[in-house]
Amino acid sequence: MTCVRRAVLRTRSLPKERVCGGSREYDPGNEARVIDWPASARRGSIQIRERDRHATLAWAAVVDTSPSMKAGRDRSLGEAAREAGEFWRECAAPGDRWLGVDPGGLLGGLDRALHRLPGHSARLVISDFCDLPEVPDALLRAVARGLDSTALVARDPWRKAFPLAGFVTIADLETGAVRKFFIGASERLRFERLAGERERSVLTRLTKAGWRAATFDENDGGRAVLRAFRAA
Amino acid sequence: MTFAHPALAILAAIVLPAGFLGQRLTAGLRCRSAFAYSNLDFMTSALNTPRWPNAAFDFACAASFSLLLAASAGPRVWITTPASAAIVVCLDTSGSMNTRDIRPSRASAAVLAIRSFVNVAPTGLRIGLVSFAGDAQRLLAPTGDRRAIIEALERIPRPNGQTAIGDGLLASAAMLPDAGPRAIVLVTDGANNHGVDPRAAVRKLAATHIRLNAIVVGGAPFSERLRKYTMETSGIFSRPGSAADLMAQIARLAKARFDARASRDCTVPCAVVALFLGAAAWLGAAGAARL
Repeated sequence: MTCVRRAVLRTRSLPKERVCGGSREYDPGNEARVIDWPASARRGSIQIRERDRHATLAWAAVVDTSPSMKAGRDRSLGEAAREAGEFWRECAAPGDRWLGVDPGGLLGGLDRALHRLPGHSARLVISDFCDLPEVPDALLRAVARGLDSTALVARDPWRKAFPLAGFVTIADLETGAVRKFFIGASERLRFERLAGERERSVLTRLTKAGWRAATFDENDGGRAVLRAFRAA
Repeated sequence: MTFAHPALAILAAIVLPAGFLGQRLTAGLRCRSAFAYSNLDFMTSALNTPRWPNAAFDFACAASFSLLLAASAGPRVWITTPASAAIVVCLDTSGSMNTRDIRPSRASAAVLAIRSFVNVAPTGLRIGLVSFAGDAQRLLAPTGDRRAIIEALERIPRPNGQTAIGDGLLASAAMLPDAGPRAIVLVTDGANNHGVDPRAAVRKLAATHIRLNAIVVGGAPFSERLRKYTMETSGIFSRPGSAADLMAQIARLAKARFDARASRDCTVPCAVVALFLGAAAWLGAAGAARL
């Protein structure tokens, strides 16, 4: 969790005034790169930056709670998303602020993240990004221009093995619409291939817009956050 | 096709489209057993399944139920098979056939028409020839030998004497076989004025299932009676106005099919097809399982 916070603080877009959270006297053994030269000049002794310890941050998590997150094999993606959100919250230091966002869909959640959260907040958006095609690139880039934007993309629970065959009825969790399909071996293979392609295209689009992006599945909540930072 | 219980057959006919449409229309309704997925649009594009298997499945369900109802309605089909028929041409050679209101004369036009009838008659049709005036004369027993028939036409006596239609019909009936499709083509221009009453002869024809086709040449005064006779035996009545028309009418008779009809019970085939479709639909539904 500490490493997540450090990674956030190392983000290039962190405002200068937020970085300079404090300084202290140099102790033997401290690295030369953490010496705060301006503060040393002001005080007449060597000062060490204490930004990781003292900088206050605003943490925000936009957790998709739409019905589509109820999908899952053993448990729902929504549960894993909540775990990831809790993990994100635990990354906050005692002096940091926590800002919850009621998402109301991906588009609404991003819009609120852009307009209601302070620009220097560390944002985590957890969603299946089913609605990503409806989100304009400009909004994605605008959200990413803040302090730190991380996206956790829910993986399709059936991307590796589609569980149905024959004449099946499938209902949309979001709209409740129902359709009948005939699913054979070739349809299953096609679905698995396209689910993987869709996941890759979502990650590519988010990364190109300036996001830190990773995937998570229903058994993998908090670890996904770490994975996102490790990948970045 | 006939049904022992027509009401059930009507119900079966209603059930098929109603069941099919019902299934198609209710396909979009909420279903508790449906597999829940987060993005149906993506699923639709990813699976890219053709629509016909679902339509076929719905049709199989509806058709299975409909055919079961149809089977319980006791369906019977009438099967017609071409049969080897026998026809006797019964030609009036009374004196009035010399009349020239039809060129060259009623008798000559009739003989020419019979010749064309022989030429266009289907293979397998046996043709006999009887002429009548004051009495009936059996010229040729029904045969498939076309040359013999043409030769027999040469032996038709010259028109002379009275008109014994009843005698001619009875002589023709006597030449026909006892079974199979049989018909008499009566070519005459007048009313019966001698011999057996035609009504008695027609009753005999009707009783033995011999069809009487009548072609009246010239202004026959009793043509309505002849029409009635033909109706009694399910035959054809025609009254051509010219020699060409006469030829056309008689050719039409030659081309008329003589089919043997038999009814066959279709309950078992209907039930088998219904069970097959039902089994296919059931297997399709049972195969929709989680892997």
